[in-house]
Amino acid sequence: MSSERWERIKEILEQALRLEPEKRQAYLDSACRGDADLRYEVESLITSHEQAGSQFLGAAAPEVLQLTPPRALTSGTKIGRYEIVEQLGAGGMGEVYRAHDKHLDRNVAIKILSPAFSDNDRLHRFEQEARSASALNHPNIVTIYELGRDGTSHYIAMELVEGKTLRELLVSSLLPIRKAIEIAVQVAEGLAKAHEAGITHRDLKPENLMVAHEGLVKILDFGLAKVASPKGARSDLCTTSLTPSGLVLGTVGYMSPEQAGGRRPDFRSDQFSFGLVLYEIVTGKRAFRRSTAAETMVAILREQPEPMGSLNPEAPPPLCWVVERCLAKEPEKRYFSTGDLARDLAAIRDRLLDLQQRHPETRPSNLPIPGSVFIGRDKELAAAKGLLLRRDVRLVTVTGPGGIGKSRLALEVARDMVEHFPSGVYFVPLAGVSDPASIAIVIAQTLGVRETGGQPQLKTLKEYLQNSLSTPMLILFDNFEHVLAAAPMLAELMAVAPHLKLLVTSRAALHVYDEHEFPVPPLELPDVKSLPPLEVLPQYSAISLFIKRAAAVKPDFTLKEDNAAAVAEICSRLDGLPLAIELAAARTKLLSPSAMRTRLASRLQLLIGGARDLPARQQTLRQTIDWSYDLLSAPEQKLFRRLSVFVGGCTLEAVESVCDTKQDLGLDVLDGMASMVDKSLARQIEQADGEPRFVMLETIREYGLGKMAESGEEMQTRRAHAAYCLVLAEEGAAEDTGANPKEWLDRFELEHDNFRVALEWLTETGDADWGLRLGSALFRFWEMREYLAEGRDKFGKLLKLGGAATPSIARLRALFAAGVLAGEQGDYIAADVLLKESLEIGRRLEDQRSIAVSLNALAVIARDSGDLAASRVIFEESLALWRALRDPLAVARALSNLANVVKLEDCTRARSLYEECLSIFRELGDGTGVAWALNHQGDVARDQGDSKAARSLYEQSLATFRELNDRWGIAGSLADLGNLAREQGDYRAADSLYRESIGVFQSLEHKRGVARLLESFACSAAAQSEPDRSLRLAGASAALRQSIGAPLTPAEQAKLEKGLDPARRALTTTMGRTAWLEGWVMPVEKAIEEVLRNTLGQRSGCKSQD
Amino acid sequence: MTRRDPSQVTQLLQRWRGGNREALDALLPLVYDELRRLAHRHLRNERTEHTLQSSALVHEAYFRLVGQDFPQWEGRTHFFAIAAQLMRQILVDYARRHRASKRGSGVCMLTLGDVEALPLRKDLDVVALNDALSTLAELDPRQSRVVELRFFAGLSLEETSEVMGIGTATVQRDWTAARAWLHREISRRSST
Repeated sequence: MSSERWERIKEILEQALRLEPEKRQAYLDSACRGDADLRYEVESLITSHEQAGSQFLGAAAPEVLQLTPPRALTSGTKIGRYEIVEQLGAGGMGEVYRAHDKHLDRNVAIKILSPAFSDNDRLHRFEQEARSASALNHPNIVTIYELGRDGTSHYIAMELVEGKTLRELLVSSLLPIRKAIEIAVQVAEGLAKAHEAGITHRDLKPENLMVAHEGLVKILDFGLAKVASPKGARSDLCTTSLTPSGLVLGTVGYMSPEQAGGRRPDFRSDQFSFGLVLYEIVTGKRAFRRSTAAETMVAILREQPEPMGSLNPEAPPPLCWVVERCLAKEPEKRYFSTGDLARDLAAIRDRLLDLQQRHPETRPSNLPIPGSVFIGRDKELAAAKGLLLRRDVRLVTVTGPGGIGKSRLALEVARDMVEHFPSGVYFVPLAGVSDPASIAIVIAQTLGVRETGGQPQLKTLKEYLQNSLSTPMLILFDNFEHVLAAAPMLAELMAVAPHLKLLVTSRAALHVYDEHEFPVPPLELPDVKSLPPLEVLPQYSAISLFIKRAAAVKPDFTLKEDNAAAVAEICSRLDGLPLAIELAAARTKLLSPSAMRTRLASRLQLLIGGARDLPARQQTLRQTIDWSYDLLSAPEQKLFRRLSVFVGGCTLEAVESVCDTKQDLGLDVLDGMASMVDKSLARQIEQADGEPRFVMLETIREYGLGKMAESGEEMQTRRAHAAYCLVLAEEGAAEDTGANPKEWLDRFELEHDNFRVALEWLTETGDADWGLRLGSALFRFWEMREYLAEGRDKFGKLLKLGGAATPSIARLRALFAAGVLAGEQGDYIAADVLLKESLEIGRRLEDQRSIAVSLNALAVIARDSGDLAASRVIFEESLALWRALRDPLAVARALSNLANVVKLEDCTRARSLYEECLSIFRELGDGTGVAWALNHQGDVARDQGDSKAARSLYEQSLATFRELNDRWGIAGSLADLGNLAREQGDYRAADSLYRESIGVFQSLEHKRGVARLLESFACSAAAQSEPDRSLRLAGASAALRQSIGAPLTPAEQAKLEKGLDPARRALTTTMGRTAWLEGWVMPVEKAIEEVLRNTLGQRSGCKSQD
Repeated sequence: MTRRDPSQVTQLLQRWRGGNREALDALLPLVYDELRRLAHRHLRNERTEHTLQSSALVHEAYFRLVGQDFPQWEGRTHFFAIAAQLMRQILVDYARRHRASKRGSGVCMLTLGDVEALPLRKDLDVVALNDALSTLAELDPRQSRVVELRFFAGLSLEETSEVMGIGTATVQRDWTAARAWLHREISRRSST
């Protein structure tokens, strides 16, 4: 047929169909003009058209194929005595609704079974099974009320569980391990009860497990799989069976090998399915996920899943073993009873809970404690959390104008989510950072990423995130608007680290790919024109905030009929901006709400109605701060302006020295600060030591800085601030040799932002003198707290200043510090250059001490970079210089340094160096130095194979430590002696030494030491053919390490495995597992008690060789 | 789950429009995968807030694949043309496999992925329809595309008209005639 002819047919057909049927003949007569074929064709199509009716192709294919959910029952529909309320979900077996039982006046869940399950026999059998499961009355099995029939459809009425299916929980995010185990225990307990009664489930999967809001888990659809079996087929043959129309039903992914292989499944088949579910909740992955069902089944029958531990390192080994056992291909290798399975899991759960209670801070997190109450943001909190938990959401930017409460909201979100991020939740405040390029440094420092020299910090950071992030981590960036140019870097980080999520607060969106913006709305406001009743008003979050803040300054403040309208109007005029409302409410002490309303009205643009855009809100806030500022007395205003020079807060002492340097404030500083806090312009935070600290909100601080610039006092204030910082830093640096460096390091940490700002200002204004001094004073802090890159960066800038060019002691010190930092970063080439220049300046200035110090540092660099020969030469030179300077302590240290290098190739020389070092320490009466020198000598002797000498040296070292009552040294030397004895096969002596050592570590609460000793005991027990005890102790130690977050390094792990090897070989896997688990769930005190009991190790037949 | 780079699809679409057949070859598996993924997800009956209309599948696939950086309408046109074809392919495959499993009735035969499926309505044999549609395409390719868009991709009359760049009246005419023709063809075939 030609296409013209076909076109013609279509036209005629269309016309004909438009006509009434009786008029068609006449039309066809004229249209076809005697062309019989044409007419036949059209008539035949008209007939087809009529036969086809509206049904044929009436719906789109996916609907025809029922690939879209069937039309849901509408609310109000009656099924039996139940009335449908809403649909809850749909599954292969039918839809589920929330319904109301009118007779018993309770809500129930109704499952309407698909017509496919209409076989009465099978329904009857199902009913029996479901009823018997339900009759067990177990909290973890859903209760069936009724199996009924309405017309042609069957339905099941059951207990309504308010919550989510496990599948839904898994879709949103990986569950924290504790939660996963809690769910697992409940499922196992429900299953165990059913199995005891001879009932199996046959179709256990995440879709069939409901997790109620309060955490209770319910197993659904017991026995339902039976109903789905084809008629005539053995009902137990497979859960995933054919519907009457021959389609696959059920989920292949959770089948047991028996089911997949067509063998008869029993209760142990449920154990396998349970193992698969547990595997998935712990790892987030299905154990046997393949692209087709057939491949999945083959995998279930033949393959081994990827080890759980490698997918989630948080998974405790015994949990992995439980899953392993459930997933045994042969049913007889699984649990003999599901009750045992439940008990194993319960033991793991209890142990885990126990550990977490003892160490609640198991997740790394540096979130600050918020300084203010969190009011009226429940909805936003829930929404933001939900957004962040979505699997596809990686970056959430909380946006809004200053003062809307972005930071507070984000902080609350982060605090609530710690459980979800096993790799930690980190807070990175950016208010003090102005250079976008330095963000990578700040992030790395916050995460504690060890810097590696010679490569950009960003690269190191990316490598770290890429390689070490195996579980989710959240980083919260606060005040990103300072560094918007760095936004693309965030995208780069997310690209390399799939487990990383970012939460950002910023006045503007970042505009990077995959960003999800979360604009923070103003607080809820009542309609001022028709004010709701008084008792309803506090439900509006804006009003509630006003009341709380007002009551804080004026305890008798309450919302009453006579002030409600004024309060509502104030909040409304302030656009519901939390910060503005807070500032206003803080004035309640002096102004009544109605007086405040009048004053504010004259300051703020009139609200014309409708939503206000962002600039308008910013205007409102600015005017509110203005108003608040104008209400301050002149001296208070002066204090406020000067106060804004501090970043990250300040102490009262700092305020005194910076804001009243010339005693020109005309105000008592303490009174002034009390007033600032009163007026909500600053917040007071209690420090751990009880000293108060004052912090300004970023928005307010910025305003203050503007005022300070206008007042012409900026230079003077900044200089005072820099001077204060310099004094503080130099004082701290002078203390750094003290016994307790933690105290001053912590103080420096607290003032770090102030130091940064001061240093930046000094660099900008070219003040090399103070700048170099401040840098050098911060050097030790930077080094010890690993701010290596930042320190180097700061020194780099300082050293380039014109005023820093002269070869002075100040320059020398800065060069030295920068060189040491570079060396610690592993950037040996840069370090060498820097240190050589410092050495050269030292020589030019003929400052011998400086020369010796620089030489020592150069030697360390040479040693660390692997050039031992050069290192030795330089150490010798440094040593000679110290000798010439007659500084015995320095000589002793230099000797120790030199010996540490020499001992690798020349033990005899090393010994003599240590001996000299020892005698100097002795002369100086430095007992600790003596003891450690002895201990080091012991190491040398041991490495040389001279165990007799080693023992004697360790013993002397131990005796010295004992004299000094240095318990750390005592415990360490005892352990060294124990190891020596074990190497020689004298296990009895070894155990006895270990026992004493672990006792000391225990009393010191040095958990790492305790763990190390438990491992020593475990190895000793393995060697003494006590495999059970050996593995038990290893389990106890692993649990301890996990709880304190101190895993073994791979090398240590390998060494331990080797030590445990005899024990592993002596026991069957199951016995080994039981022993390990036993130790793992054993409280650590019990493990210590066990090793302290002097009843074991008696059988040791080995004797010391010497 | 990695998110597909939308620019990849966009580029392929552009090259395909420029006459590059290889681009289509590269494009087909991408779109097919995505549609299949969507269909699977859909089949799993996950509880979704919005009920998916059949065309929503395609719309969603379009946005996931192409995103919004592609000249809106032009891109959509080409996309739907391919998507409809793919939907046809997918659905016919689906129906075929269903038929196959019917034959092996009584045996625990599994041919679908981890998918729970529901029975087909008896009143339409999609496989037969597909065969008839191929015959129709020889007669009138445009008409066959109208059927693809309307039936397989679930587009409305207006959407089909926009996608194809022809008036709604023409679409209506093609659709009416195609329905009658297909119905006749299928009845003839099934009776022989």
